[in-house]
Amino acid sequence: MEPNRGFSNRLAALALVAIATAGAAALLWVESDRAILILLLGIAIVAFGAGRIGILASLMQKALQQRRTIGTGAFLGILLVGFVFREDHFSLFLIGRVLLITLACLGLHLEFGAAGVVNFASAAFFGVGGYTAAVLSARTGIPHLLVLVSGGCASALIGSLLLLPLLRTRGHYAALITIAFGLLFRTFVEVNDSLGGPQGLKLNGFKFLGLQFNDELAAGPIHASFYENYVLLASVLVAIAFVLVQRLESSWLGLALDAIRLDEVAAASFGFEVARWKILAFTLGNFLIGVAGALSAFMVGFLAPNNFTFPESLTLVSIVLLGGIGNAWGLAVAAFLVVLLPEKLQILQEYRYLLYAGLVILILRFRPAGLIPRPMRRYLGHSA
Amino acid sequence: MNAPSPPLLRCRDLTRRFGGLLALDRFSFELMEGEILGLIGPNGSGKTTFFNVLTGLYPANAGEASFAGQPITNLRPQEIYRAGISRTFQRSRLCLSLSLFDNIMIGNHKRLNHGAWANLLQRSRLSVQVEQGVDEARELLGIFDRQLRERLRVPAATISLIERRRVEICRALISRPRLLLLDEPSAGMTSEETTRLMDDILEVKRKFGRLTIILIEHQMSVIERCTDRCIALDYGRKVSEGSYASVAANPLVRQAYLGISWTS
Repeated sequence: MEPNRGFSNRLAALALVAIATAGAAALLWVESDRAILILLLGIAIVAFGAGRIGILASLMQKALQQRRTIGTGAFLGILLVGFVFREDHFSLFLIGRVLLITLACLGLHLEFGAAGVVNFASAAFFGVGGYTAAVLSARTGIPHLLVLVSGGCASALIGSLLLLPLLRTRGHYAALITIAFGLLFRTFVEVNDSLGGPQGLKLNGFKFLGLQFNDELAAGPIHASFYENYVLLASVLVAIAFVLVQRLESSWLGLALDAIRLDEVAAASFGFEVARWKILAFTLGNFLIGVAGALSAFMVGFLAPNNFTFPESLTLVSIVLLGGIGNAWGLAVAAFLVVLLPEKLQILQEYRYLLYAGLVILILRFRPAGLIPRPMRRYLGHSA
Repeated sequence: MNAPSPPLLRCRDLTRRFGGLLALDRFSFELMEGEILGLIGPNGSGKTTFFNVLTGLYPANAGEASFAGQPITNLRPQEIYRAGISRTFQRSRLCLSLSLFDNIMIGNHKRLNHGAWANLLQRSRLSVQVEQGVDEARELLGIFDRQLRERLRVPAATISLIERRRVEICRALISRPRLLLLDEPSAGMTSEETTRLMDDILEVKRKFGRLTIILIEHQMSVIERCTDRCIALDYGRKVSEGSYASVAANPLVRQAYLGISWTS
């Protein structure tokens, strides 16, 4: 009985991952606006129908019993899609961007979804990571992997400047502090000539163990765009961050973050040092955002203050909301949709923020828990 | 005769003001280990304020409190909890989106290992702690409600208000406190349900031994049945202290609840 159920759960997990991978590949593959709209409509109708008759819910329920299978499956799915599109610069660039945005959103998820610390300056922290990478790689010989870590550390460090006012405020006021910081960051970069000012900075490609990431990949007859390097590295980083976040959530640490998010007074009455947990989440979250920003700077090869504005922060927040607040799994799906749609639907380019706003309103109205709602905590796969 | 043991809790002249309002006015009393003390008084008489001052949610404006011989006046709530005082709230403060098990384990904070290393990497050791937590939570919840103990995994939002109160008491008990503060645990219950709840609490006391309880309660039958001693508050001041019968007979207490009688 038991192993049998485990098998069907695993099958459900693999089926979900396969469907998601196929859907993602299809969206990457089609090019004309009309084809995309038809595809999206088809996906929406199928998802809505499956949701209505309960297939989707039961599939998800089963699949969530096998989170490790989903994780491994999704990782292999990304590699597979990356391989299929190996010669397509633009698709690979989009995949890389989705992965890095997912990485940043995992950080935001820790702050916002888990600990309840608002952060409307995530694009600024992304930028801190990027500018750190640009300066360090241009002026020092530090190995680039360490540059990524430094980007994360710089972001966490600058974030700690915000801690004092953040810990003394709640709700809207805390949100305003982070918004103000985001504006300050942009102005700071814009007037600072050593950081390129409004024109921005250029970066050379990422180097790792003698491998030049900006060179084309070639193994025998198989050639791949240089973006493949970034996709591979980004998927490894996302995998590491994902395991970290999942382990954190399925342990007493995740419970502590939930406790302080849901009721600070009760949490304090049961011994939780509220400030300590908020600091932990904010620092770790900004670290992840900073690392994502650093690698993104290498991949794009260029940085400008305009990439790190308030609307960009809102985009990251909307991904967290869309994915299902507090649910790391939903993030990847939401990040994919939010990054991909405006790039693919040319008509939308100008109206991308309109699209995000509309999506967020629809989700909050019809599915307030997000595309994939937060599941109950499971401690290391225990049934308790 | 043995020398009398020192009281577990001693409050002297505890005072709390909100602007011009004296919510707690020079409140003094002593509580022996193992006692169950009933705290009664009309709405707004300062009972919950006393709990909030004692547990560090509000600082006291004057006076002092000591617990097990240690001064605890104006310690932070976290330190009060670690010293061994744990409480329930008048309005339920369970985390509704979390499972019953999660909620109960929130109360167990001081006994859980929160190291990053232990939680992120030593997963087999963490798993032992989780199993242990499940056993303890199940045992405790089983005292109050046989059915609830099989439902540790359901979200707190899906159980009834009465069941939530039981879970909340379990959350306060799981860390094995020395002093339990119950703030109107029976609000919204019928008198039979209240009686059962109090019987369950007495059973917990028998099982754990030496548990000391302060109980805020409006149903006098509960006070009569469960408490060893009782204190009546009115306008933040202690108006009477003693056995339930003597407090209930006190004219000041009757006046606080019913107003001045024309005939007297």
